[in-house]
Amino acid sequence: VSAAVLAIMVPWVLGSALFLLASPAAWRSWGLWPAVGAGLGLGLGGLLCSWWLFLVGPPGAGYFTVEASITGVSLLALWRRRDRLMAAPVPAPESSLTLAGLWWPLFVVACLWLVLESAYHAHGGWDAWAIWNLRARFLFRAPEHWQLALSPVLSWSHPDYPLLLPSMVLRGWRLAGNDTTAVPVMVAGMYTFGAVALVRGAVGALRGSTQGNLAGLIMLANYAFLKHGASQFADVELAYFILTAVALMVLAQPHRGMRISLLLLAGLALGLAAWTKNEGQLFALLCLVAWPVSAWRHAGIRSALRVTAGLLLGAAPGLLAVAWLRLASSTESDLLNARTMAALWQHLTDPQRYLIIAEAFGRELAGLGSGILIIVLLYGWWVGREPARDRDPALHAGAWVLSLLLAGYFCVYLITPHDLHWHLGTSLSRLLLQAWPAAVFLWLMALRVPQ
Amino acid sequence: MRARTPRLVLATLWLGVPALLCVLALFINLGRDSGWLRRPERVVTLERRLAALEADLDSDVPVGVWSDGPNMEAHFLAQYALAPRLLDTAAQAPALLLAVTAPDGHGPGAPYRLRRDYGGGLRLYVRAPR
Repeated sequence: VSAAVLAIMVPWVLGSALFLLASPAAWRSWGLWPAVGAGLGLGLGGLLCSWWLFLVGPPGAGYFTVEASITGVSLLALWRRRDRLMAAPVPAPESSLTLAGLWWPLFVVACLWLVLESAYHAHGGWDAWAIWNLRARFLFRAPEHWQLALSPVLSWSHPDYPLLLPSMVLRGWRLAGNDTTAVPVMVAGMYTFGAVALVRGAVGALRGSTQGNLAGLIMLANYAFLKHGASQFADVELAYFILTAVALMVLAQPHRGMRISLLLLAGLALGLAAWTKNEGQLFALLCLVAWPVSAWRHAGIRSALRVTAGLLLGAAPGLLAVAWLRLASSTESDLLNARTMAALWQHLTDPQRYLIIAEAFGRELAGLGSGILIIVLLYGWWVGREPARDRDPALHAGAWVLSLLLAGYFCVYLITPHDLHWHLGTSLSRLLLQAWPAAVFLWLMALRVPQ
Repeated sequence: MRARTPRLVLATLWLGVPALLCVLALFINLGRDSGWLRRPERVVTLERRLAALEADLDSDVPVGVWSDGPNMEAHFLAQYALAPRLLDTAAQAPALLLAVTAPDGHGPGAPYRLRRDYGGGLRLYVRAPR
C-alpha cells in the first residue's frame, strides 16, 4: 500500500508543478491545481512508463530515477518562480451560501463508499478483469514480451485498445514489486475523485466557490459515475482527460493570446485521452480541428496556428504511442474492419437502426445518473444563462466538441457489426459518462450565478 | 435590508434545492445498491477460483483449453489467472488442459483425467501417461 501511495504521490507533485508553472495565477485556487495535477501527473507517469517499456525495457530503478529527476527539476523551476505564485490574486470573499457544508460531508461519504466497494471488488468490474487489469498483468509478469498482451488469441479482450491504464498500473506494481490490487484501486480512486474535484475546482476558480461546490455536488450525485470508477473501468480515466482538455482550453482562452504552456498541457491531456481508449482518439481529433477553427474565427490565422502548434506538440507523445501500438499489433478493431466496411451501406441506409439508436440515446440520457441530468437542466432553466458567457468562444468550441463526440458515437453504433441492441445495452451508458464531467463543467460555466 | 431578504431567500432556493436534490440522489442510490453493504457471494466465489487456479497453474507447462460451449466468465477467469501465458486453443495434446464448459458440462475424456473441479464449468485436466 505504501508503494501504491508513493506511485500516486510523485506524479501528483509533478503534475501540480507543471500546471502551476503554466498557470501561476492558479496558485490560490486550492481546489483546482491539485485536481489537475493528480490526473495529469499520473497520466504522464503512465505515458512515460509505456515509452520506457517500448524503447528501453521493463521499467526499474532507471525509470524511477528519471521520473524523480523530472519531478525534482519541475519543483526547482517552480521554486525559482515562487514570486509569481505569491503574486497570484487572492479570491474575493463570498457570501455564506457556499454550499461547502454540504459538499465536504458528501465527499467524505463518497470516498468511504469507494474504499468499501473497492475492498469488496478488489479486481474491479468485469471489463477490468477481462481487459484492463488482464493487460496490466501481461505487462507486469512478462515485460520483455509485452506484445503478448496484444495477441489475437485475446481477441475478446480488445487487443487494439491503448495501454495507458495498464501502464499506470504497471508503474505502481513495479514500484511495489508485486501485483497488489491496491494499485488499480488507487488509480481508479484518483481519477474518479480527480474528475469530481476538477469540475468543482475549475468551476470554482472561474465562477466562484458557490457554483464550484454545486458542481461538485452534481458530480457526486451521479452514482453511475462513482460506480464505474470503483469498477476500475478506463471510461472514468477518459472522462477525466476529456474534462481536463476542455477545462484547460477554457482557462487558456486561446482567443486572447494566452501563453502556449497551457495549450501544451491541454494537448498533453488530448494525447493521454487518445492513449486511454479508442474513443479518446476521436475526441483528440475533434479538438485538433475544432479549437484551431474557433481560434481562427475569433482571433485570426496566427492564433489558429499557435493553438494548432501548442495542442499538437503537447499531444504528440500520446498520439505517437497510439501509432506505435497500431504498428506493433496485428489485431484489427472489432468495429472498423473489412466486415464492417462490407456491411456499411446496408447499415447506413437502414432507418430502423437510426430509430433504435436515437431511442437508446434518449432513454440513457433521461436516466443518466438516476435522472440527475434532469435536475441539472431544470437548474439551468431556473437560473438562466450568463449573458457575458454567451459570446465565450472557448465554451462554444467545448460544447461543439462534446456534441460532435456524441454524434461520432451515434455513427459508430450505426456501423457496428455486433448485435445493435446488445452493443447499445453494454456500452452506451459508459460512453455518455465519458462526456459527463466536461458537460457539467461547460453547463455551469454558461449559467448565471445566483447572488 | 428588506430588498436583501427576498433576494437571499431566492438565492437560497436557487442553490439549496438543487444541492439538496443532489445529496438525496446519492443517498437514494446508496440505499438501493445493497452490493456495497456486504461482500457479494459471486465475487467471493470468483476470487476463490482465481486463487486456486493461480496456485495450480504456477509453472511454465503449456496449458490448452477445451470447450464444448460458451462460458465467457470461466474463460476470462482462466486467462486472467494464466497471464502472461496464453490459453492456447490450438495446442496439440498439451500436458494441462483447462476445460471451460457449461456448469454441468462434460470434460474432454481420455487421455485426460480430472485434476481439479473449480466449479462454474471450469476444470483442470492432466494428460495421463501412456
